[in-house]
Amino acid sequence: MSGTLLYQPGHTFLHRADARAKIAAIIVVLVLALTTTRIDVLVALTAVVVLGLAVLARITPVSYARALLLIVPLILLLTLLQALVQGGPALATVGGVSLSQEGVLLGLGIGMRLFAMGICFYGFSLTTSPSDIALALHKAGLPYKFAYLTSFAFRFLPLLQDEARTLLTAMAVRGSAETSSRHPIRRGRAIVRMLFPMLAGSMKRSSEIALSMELRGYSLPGPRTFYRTHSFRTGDAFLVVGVLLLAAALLVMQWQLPAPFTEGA
Amino acid sequence: MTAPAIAVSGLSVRYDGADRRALDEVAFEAVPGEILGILGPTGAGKSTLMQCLSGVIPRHEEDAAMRGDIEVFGRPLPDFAGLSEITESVGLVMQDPEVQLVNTMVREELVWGMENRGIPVPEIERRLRRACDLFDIGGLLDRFTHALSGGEKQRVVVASVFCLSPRIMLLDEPTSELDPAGTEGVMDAIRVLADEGVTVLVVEHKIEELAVHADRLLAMRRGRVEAIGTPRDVLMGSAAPDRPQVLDIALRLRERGHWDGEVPLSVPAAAATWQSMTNDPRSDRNRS
Repeated sequence: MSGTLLYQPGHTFLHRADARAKIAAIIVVLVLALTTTRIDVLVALTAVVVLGLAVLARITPVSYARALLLIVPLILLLTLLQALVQGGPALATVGGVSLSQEGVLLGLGIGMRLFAMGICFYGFSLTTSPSDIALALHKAGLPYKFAYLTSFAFRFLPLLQDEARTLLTAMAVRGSAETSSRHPIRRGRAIVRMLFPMLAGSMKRSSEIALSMELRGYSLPGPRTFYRTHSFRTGDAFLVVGVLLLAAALLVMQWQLPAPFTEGA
Repeated sequence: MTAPAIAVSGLSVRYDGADRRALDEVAFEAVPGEILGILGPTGAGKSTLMQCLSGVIPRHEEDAAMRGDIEVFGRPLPDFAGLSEITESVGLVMQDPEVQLVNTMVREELVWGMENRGIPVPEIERRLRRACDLFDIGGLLDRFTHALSGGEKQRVVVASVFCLSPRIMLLDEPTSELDPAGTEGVMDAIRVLADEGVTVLVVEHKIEELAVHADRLLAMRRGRVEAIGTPRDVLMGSAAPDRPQVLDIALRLRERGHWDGEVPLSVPAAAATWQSMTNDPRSDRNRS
């Protein structure tokens, strides 16, 4: 990883794939994940996404293990909340508080949904350069000047990160104990104090960056050339068709198979 | 006589709220293929001058009032349609490289300006190869721009302006973050461009480098041109803000009667002069 950017150049299938194909695949996965809370369908979807990233982009769970450490407690919290607020038969009773079976399944389902969508975006960010995203949007019909801004946003993030780091360091060397405090409230106070100068610095920088862009012909009206172009190839079509087939299979699974852990299942 | 690439007369600038002019009746000319080094202490108006020559003042900086005339190849600057049109002839490298890197990867950064101008891809590739050779950045092409060192960023920024093939290049402290070898590399590249007919105006604090590489120097102080001429004339005059150490030493030696050769502007020149002086059978040094 490089700063705020996740993108890592590479030569895997997903690195070479057209960004439009990847965006289409993500949309299909998102729609699937958001239209069901069935735990078996979401587990199957997540498994296919994990397997797909490993095979097509050599992104193994080890590379997002740290993110998993953050997301697992979130899933557990969601599950607990749903177990407490949902009705239905109890799965277990702890200290007089009954945990709803339906709530547990719903919480796990929502957690799996977040997980599937999260690693999908992670895989996309890791294999797609910001300029490819801009090119894809341009090819999809968005004027280049607007499409480019998506790519530029990724360039602006490390600038903000540097600015924040510099300000925090400046505060620390002038004796502010809050900047290095582990106490979340004190640390938060330091961040709030840093926000105004960071905003002012960003405004100044954005004006200078706008000037640099202008000096390099950003607003020229004439036709533009594209040094790097992506064409939608057979492999990209296979990716989209593959994801659509997966969606069809999971929809069949949802409609044809009874939900697990329910009466009569 | 060669027609000037850039001609400035009566140029004055005052920023809103400032107690004095940032530029005060500045006038000079630079001819095609010339390297004009601009010297001066902080606040002398060097960067303001660069911004005027590139059209940034008054087109982008609204808090600066400007008067005077600037002509680029005989065409008054106000006649250009906008900054983008001016930059077809005049390329500006600003002081801070960070704000000039607007893409995430170095290769994208170098080609982006050319793409905006609609330059055909084979020509983009040719210029890209040339930029890599001139500025020694071939190994950086697939790196993230934000992850480069300060010196690498500067070389990429200069190269990205070079890729636009302007006939005039304005470089505002292009080597401030470079080590001696990197500085030498950029200065050599500037000389190659000048030999090809590009007019280069370069603001630098590294006076030793300018003394050797510039064709003429322009010394500024408090917004005014104090002196303009060959490096030797300017640096030996009273208007020079500073002098290369080697020149200072040679002048002191001359005062004491130990240096009778030409006053050098660089250490290699000093060594060569010293050698010729010590080999001279008439020299006192050989008799002692």
